[in-house]
Order: sequence, then structure tokens, then C-alpha cells
Amino acid sequence: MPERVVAEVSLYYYLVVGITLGLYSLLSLSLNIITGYAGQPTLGHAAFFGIGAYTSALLTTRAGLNFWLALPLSFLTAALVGWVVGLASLRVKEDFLAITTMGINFVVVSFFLYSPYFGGALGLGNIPAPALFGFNFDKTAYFGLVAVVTITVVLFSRFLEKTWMGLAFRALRDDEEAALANGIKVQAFKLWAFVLGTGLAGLAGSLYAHHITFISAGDFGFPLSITVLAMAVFGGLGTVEGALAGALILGLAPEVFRFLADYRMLVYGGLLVVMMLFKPSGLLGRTELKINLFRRLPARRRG
Amino acid sequence: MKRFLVLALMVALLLTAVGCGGGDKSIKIGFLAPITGPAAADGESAKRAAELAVKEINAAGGIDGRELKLLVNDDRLDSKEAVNIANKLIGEKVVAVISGSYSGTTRAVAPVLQQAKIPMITAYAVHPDITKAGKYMFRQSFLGTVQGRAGAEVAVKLLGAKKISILAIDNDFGKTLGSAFKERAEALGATIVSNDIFPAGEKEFNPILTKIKGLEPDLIYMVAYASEGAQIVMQAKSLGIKAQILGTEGIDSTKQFLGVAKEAAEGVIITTNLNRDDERPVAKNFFANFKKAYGVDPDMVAASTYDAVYVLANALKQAKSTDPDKIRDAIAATKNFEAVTGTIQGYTAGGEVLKTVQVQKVQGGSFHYFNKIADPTVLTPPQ
Repeated sequence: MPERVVAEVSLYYYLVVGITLGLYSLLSLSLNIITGYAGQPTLGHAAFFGIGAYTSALLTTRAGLNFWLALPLSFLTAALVGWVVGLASLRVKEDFLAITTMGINFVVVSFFLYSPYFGGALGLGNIPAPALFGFNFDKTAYFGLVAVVTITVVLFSRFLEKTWMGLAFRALRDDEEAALANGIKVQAFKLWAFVLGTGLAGLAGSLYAHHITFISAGDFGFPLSITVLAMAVFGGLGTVEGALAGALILGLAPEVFRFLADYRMLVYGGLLVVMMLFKPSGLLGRTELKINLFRRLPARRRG
Repeated sequence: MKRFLVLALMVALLLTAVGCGGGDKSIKIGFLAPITGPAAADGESAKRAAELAVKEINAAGGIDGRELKLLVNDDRLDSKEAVNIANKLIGEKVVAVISGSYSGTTRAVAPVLQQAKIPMITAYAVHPDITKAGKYMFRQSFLGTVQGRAGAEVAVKLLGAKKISILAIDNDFGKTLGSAFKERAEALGATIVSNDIFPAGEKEFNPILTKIKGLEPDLIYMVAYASEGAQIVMQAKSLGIKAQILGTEGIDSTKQFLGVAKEAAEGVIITTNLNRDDERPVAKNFFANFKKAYGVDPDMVAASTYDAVYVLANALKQAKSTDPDKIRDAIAATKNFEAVTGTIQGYTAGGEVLKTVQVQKVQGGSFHYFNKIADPTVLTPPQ
């Protein structure tokens, strides 16, 4: 009798991929607040994801705090650093802001890598999974948690769009000078965008740390910042649907294209190029990425 | 609303595509390696070696007539992706996993597989915490500490170095080897005159090397991967540094190190687990078959991965079962197994391999036998 082995992909795989997609969605949504709503290009988003992850990991493994306290504290720590970075970045715009935030990403990564307190090159391990009233979160429950947080952030983003702050962000994005002339405190709202966006990235970082249970500086490098920016731009900046669509499609693509083996990342890159060629505002986007570096070049040549 | 529907359709399409696969009565072994991305050269080498081993084992009748099936997955050196792969492999009912990946990804995968009680043999990742994840975890190459200590034995005892400069890459590999080397070398009476680290991907070493030149060390202990290592030996040569360079398995690569550094690599000594002049049939066959299949000479990564597959295949035969617990026990019970990277005396209770450290020297453009370190006090990993 031939033995029949049914090849099935376990539920856990779907759940873990689901968690990864949730984390990407959170990153993309948080970046959307800074870059999409307020129009401030940033290339250092992974740094804040890392700050959240490290905060949560240190608080739970070294200080013995539980996850439910570490989670909001990760938000606050990342938001605080985001505020400081925002303050320092108020004087720079567009290309220069992008380069500054990119620099911040490198600084934060080296900080984690070279300080022994942060585990240095060996990283931080044995980060506990969350527990609630004696119930240890397995991946099913964790997926639920990530889903709830993601939905909350989606609703928050929608709410933000309708508030005075959301309107101010839009004014700031579309024309900073005009907004200023109309009496909008441009500087204050830029800071708010940074604080909210980086704080939410920190929250995602905490969720990442307790999911993967081991973190090291390399996980939060510049390539991740670019991946997240690509998601937000691919889906379309300035909309919740765009941020979600970008995270889901580009987050899922590497798993789906696994059967392509060596050509997997080629297809992924091709997808990005085609999208930017034919629809620069992204799948569902309202605005284009405001980095003028490339747009200025032909203008100069003409002049 | 319409664009929302299109979107939902796209996502649904992608999701269904994830779940494709087929089934037969072969024994499935999971495999992950960074086949694309920053570590693609090592990932490709590991993949080739694993595929070669599986092909050979199947050609020789498989495991009691059952074929081995290698499920190859690319982790792109990304922990998130590696954890996805681990869960995918669990779902595909693999009996064991071979990691041909680096420390970060392997360490992220270890607790997942440990929890699922699936044995894993990691081919060449050095992070100490991988095997600490639990009793289902084994390592096929030396723990960073063991190789660092062996390096110190070579430097001080074999080469008589008294003043030593350390130049190490700033990741777990450089860190564990560098600190173990320093500790042992100082205990053996040598002085460490400088201890520098450099970031992965660095190309300009003249400033550090100029400083080292001024310190006039007898020996430079270089913990680097092939691309940085090649730059270091070339720039050291052009600066006229006379100190002996002692490297590690990180530069044990024919193409990326010897091929790039060429005559500048001449005389460099390394600690590794692969002896190019090994006359045992198992090693000679591997060198010949690998070259025949892929047209290039195998490196340390390939040999370690190849051995990992054979250790697992041997355990499967001994266990006469695909029950993960029996496979685990059979791997742990491995005794005096003839592998390409030497005779595997066995595994410690912590899952660390016990085998001789090889010392190779670059002569005439290739690695050759120079010496070996078999002292058990050096080879036994710290607990």
C-alpha cells in the first residue's frame, strides 16, 4: 500500500506570514503619517522600529517588566526620539530631510551595534512572548493581537485625516509657504507628524521583538527603511488604503514568488519599476513622493 | 469601491498561490540559506553542497530505499523571512532542518524549531545561543570561542608571536572569535598591542593598517569574511607590512578570497575545518564531485553544509525512523563519523561538534596543510 502523505502548509505558517504582514502594515501606516499626510520624506523609519524593539526587549528581559507595560513604553521612547529628531530636522526640507533621516538610521544602528548594553554584535535574545492572566500567547493569539493593533492604527489614521491636525498636515504637504501664510504653525505640525509616526513605528518594533524573540542591530538597517518606503509609495502615499495595499502586496510577494527561486527578487524589483513608471502616485495614492532630487535635474539642463 | 475590489482580488490570488505543493513518500529535509541578498555567495555555495549530498545519497539508495527530498528556501539573510520559512517547513512536515545560513537568521529560527521538536543542524553559523535554544539543536562547525582559542594556539605556540594586533569584523563572528583569541593569547603570554573592529562591507583599511604598521606586531589576527579579508591582505602588502597574517574560516574561500587577493594572500595562515590536502576518500570524493558538478573548488561553507547533510542521513539510517526524537538521539549519538571536515568524534551535551581544527597556509595560490589543533582542552566548548 503506497503511503499517502498529504502535503499541507500548516496554519502556523499563514499566521506567521500574517503577523509579518501586520508588522509591515503598521510600519507603512506610520510612515504614511509623516511622508503621506505631512509630506515629509524620511529614509530612516527602520531606526524607530528598532528603538521600539530594543526598548521592549530591554524592559522585559533586563528590567523584568511585562509586555503590556513595555508596549506603550516602546511607543513613548520612539516618539520621544522622534520628537528630538524632528526638532533637529525642522531646518531641513525635502532632499536634505531625506538625507538627514537616512543618517539618523545609520547612527541608531551603530549605537545598538557598538554598545555592549544593547547586546552589541550578539544581539538580544530570549525575549518572552506576552502573557495575560496566565495565558501564554501562541502565534494564533499573537496574530490576533497584531491584527487588533493594526486595525486600531487604521481607524486612528482615518480619524486623523478628519481632524484639524489632519487638515494642517495636508496644507503643509501641498504648500508649506501657503500654509504658513494662512497662519498654520508649520513647525509644530511637522513635529506632531514625526512624533506620531515614529511612536507608531516603535509600537510595531515592540510587536516585532516579542514575535521574533531575538533582535540584532542588522534587523533595523537602512534597507528596511527603503522597503517600508517602497511599500508606502507603491500602495500610494497619503491614503490608508494605499499604505495597507503596499504593505500587503510587497510583504506577501517574496513569499508568493518563492517558487521562482533565484529570480524572486528580480520580479519584486521589476514590479516596483513598472509601478513607478506607469503610476508614480502609487496604486491608490493621492500624492507623489516629495523628493525633488531627480525632478530638478532636467529643469537645470533646460536652463 | 471598484479599486477596493480589485485589491481584494489581488490579495486573495496571492494568498492562494502561497499554499501550493505536492506529496510523495520521500523523507523531507528543510533547508534554508541566504541564496540572494548580501550573503548570496555563501548561500549559493551551501545550497550547491546540500543538493550534491542529497543527490549522492539518493543515488546510493537513499535511506533504506526512501529518497531524501531537500526543500530549499532562500532567507535573504532576513530574520522575519527565516521565521516564516521555519513555520512553512514545519507545515510541510520535514523531519529535520539544515541551516546553511548565518547566525542572525539561524538564531531566530532555532527556538521555533526547538518548540516544534524538529532537529536542526546548523552548518557554519557561530553564534553560541543557537545551540542553547534546546536539545534539538546541533552545530556542525566550531563554536566561535573554540576557533578563537585555536587561533591563539597557532599564533603563540606554533608561530611564536609575542606582539599581536587584532582586526575583527563588527558582528557576532568577529566578536566571539576576537575575544576568545585575545583571552587565550594573553593567557599564553602574548601581548595584544591593538584591537580594532571594522564594519561589514568596509573597503578602505589603510588608516587602521598604517596604525598597526607603526605598532610593529609579529602577527595580525584577522577575523574577516572573504571580501574584506582580500582587501586587508592586499592593502597590508602594499603598505609593506611584514607581520604574519592569521585568518579564520571566514576567508576560507577559493574564489572570493584567493581569487581576489592573488599573490598578496601568499603565506596567509588560517584556522578552518577543511583540510585541502586530506587524503581520506570521503574528502577526495567530495572535492572531485563538487568540482565536476559546479566547475569550482568547494569552500568551508560547502564542506560544512555537505557534512551536515551526511550527519543527518547517517542519523536517519541509525534511527530507522523519521520520529524527530529518535533522529535527535541518533545525531547526539554520532561517534567517529568520517566527514569531509575531519572525523567527527561526536557532539557535546550542548550540541557542539567535537573535531580537529585544521590550520591551512596559502602556498602557490591555494590552501595547503600547515598543522592542526587537536588538544581537547582547546576543542571542548565552554559550558
